[in-house]
Amino acid sequence: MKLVSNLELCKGFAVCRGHITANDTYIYSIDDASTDTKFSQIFYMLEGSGTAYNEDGSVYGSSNNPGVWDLRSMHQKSYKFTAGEHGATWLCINPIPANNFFDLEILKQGSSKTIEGDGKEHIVMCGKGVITANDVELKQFKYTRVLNGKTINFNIPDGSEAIYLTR
Amino acid sequence: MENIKTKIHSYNEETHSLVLSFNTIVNGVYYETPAYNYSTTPYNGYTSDYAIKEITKASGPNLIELEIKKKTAAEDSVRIDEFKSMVGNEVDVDIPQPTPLNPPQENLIDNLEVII
Repeated sequence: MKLVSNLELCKGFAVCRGHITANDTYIYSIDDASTDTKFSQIFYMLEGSGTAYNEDGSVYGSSNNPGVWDLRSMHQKSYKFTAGEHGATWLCINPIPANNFFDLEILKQGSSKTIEGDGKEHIVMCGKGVITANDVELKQFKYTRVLNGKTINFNIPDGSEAIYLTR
Repeated sequence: MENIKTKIHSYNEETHSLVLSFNTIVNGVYYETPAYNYSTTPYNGYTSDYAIKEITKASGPNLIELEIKKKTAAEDSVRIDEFKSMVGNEVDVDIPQPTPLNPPQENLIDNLEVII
């Protein structure tokens, strides 16, 4: 297996970016899927393709770039991911604690969204391209929070995409 | 399962050379090798130039962790043995236990957040 990954700790979650080569499989153990920082609830495909399998071996889903999965049903379960013929490069959001799940919305290219801080946790991360938050540029993998009482207007230009997380 | 990690300290895009070290935990003791200099070209059995390049671009100066897990004993025993042979000069250090990360983590500063 050829696997490269890195993990960045943020407040209340971790961001994992990784790559595996063609047709290789990465297995998430029950320990992985139960442990803070290790459980990848949000799986966002950056390049390539792959298939995720449930612990019983049945197919959870297949994804080509771009693709995103909310894998909360995999919490505390073993599962695996097999890359397609061109490998797979992904970004994962790992909630901390592992069971403090995010709700997910993908903000598509050519859209805009206004988010008001209402006491919930609102996080917007640039998944692809460059987005703006109150006219401030967020490059790929950068994120911002909408704090309580604040309002932020997000614009997602053509060719870009954003990951909107709430909990 | 064998689990030997490689910490990549730097990557030179022009020469495709890496400075990296190996570490593992045996019986609860953490071992880490000195940093080695490798060219990825003859080392492509274990790493992916493409992936390292892409992830390095994405993560900037952050350390990259390359984790090679044993797939099957027969398939990877050679690799594991080779890695083990590289785990020389073993030095006992404090075991870097993962820090509990229960929120709030108000003092945590990461490189990805942009304050608006």
